Amino acid sequence: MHVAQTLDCSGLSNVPAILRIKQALVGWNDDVRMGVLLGEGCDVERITGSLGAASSRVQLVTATKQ
Amino acid sequence: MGDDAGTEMISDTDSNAPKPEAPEYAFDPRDPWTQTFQKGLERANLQGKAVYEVGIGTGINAAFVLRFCGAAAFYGSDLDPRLIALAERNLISLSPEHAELFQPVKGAVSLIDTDEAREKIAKTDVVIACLPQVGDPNDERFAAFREEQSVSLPAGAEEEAHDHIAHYYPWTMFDEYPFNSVGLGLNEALLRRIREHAPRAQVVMNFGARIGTELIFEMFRANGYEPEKIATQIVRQDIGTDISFFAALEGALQGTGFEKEFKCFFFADPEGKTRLSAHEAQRLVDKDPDTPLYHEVCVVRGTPMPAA
Ligand SMILES: C[S@@+](CC[C@H](N)C(=O)[O-])C[C@H]1O[C@@H](n2cnc3c(N)ncnc32)[C@H](O)[C@@H]1O
Repeated sequence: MHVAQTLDCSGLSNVPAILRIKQALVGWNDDVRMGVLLGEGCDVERITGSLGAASSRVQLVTATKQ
Repeated sequence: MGDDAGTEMISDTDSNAPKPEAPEYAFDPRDPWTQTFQKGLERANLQGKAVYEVGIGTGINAAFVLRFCGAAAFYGSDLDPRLIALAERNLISLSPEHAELFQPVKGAVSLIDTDEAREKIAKTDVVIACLPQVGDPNDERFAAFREEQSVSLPAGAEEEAHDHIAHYYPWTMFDEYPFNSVGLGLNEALLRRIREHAPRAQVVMNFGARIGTELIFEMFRANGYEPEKIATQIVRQDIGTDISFFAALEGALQGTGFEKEFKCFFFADPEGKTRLSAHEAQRLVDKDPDTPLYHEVCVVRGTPMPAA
């Protein structure tokens, strides 16, 4: 599936990042997955779990530490 | 809380002193938010500094900072162009001997988005601001999110008061800024601009801490500023301001496993002892719109951290 547009969540901890993803998913066209850039402080596994079925609508990527 | 000792208020130092002109379209200069802000400004070491206020309102802080904090120059601008002429009039009546130190940018200026504003920001030591932190109830995308959380808008909340833009900001317009998710998009947009155009300037900003201070501090750090709380006060929640924004944030976390990690900070009492979540607060005002609610207002100073 095509991945579109990266939602910038860098700098956000888990809670504001989940809120941002859920806000962006309202009205999102389901033919494409939403790319999401998470900050280093985020727990990708917990965030994926927290999204439930909606997790298939997003592709989470973490900003890597250098 | 309540440590008023030594705090001078331009509007109440002397009952014979001139009162600021405060038309309906301007944010009320006697509002407790402004009182808290001035406590912070007093503690911000503004002596001899060039200060720029984004969102100047009635100009009450310009008069206060020049008169009581010893600033050397005061620049300012506002999205509502009527406020510049009002601020100039207020400065002449409240502190005529300082009127020439006030050099506002005329016209409608969003944040610092004109050449003249950026030129003045570049000469500024401390940028001060108290900008809206609640998404406009009429914002279409925000309304769709709120409806998905089954949070309805209280009766009358979609009506715009004369000073609407003092309370709400166009949420979708600032969605490129990550902290927009908790209502800080406009404030984060300002921090990014200051970082770019005045990288050495400190910022002193006033916040309603309904989402908690931790998230506000997180926004400062994410944008390269070390935060420090320099004043705080519990104030009454403005009756006219819609709090469904905060209830929608809590609602969106239901069933995520994170619901216990985030609850908004409202209080049932002016001492801030009985905490209420936004949902609990909303339920109380739904039953009786006159139920008094309280929340913290705090002034945060941000000092630029060296670039990583
Ligand atoms: C809460 S009032 C504060 C007024 C004054 N600074 C005070 O502390 O009393 C917010 C002010 O910000 C202005 N404002 C709102 N959005 C703005 C923006 N995007 N750029 C500049 N000013 C804005 C409003 O017109 C209003 O005067």
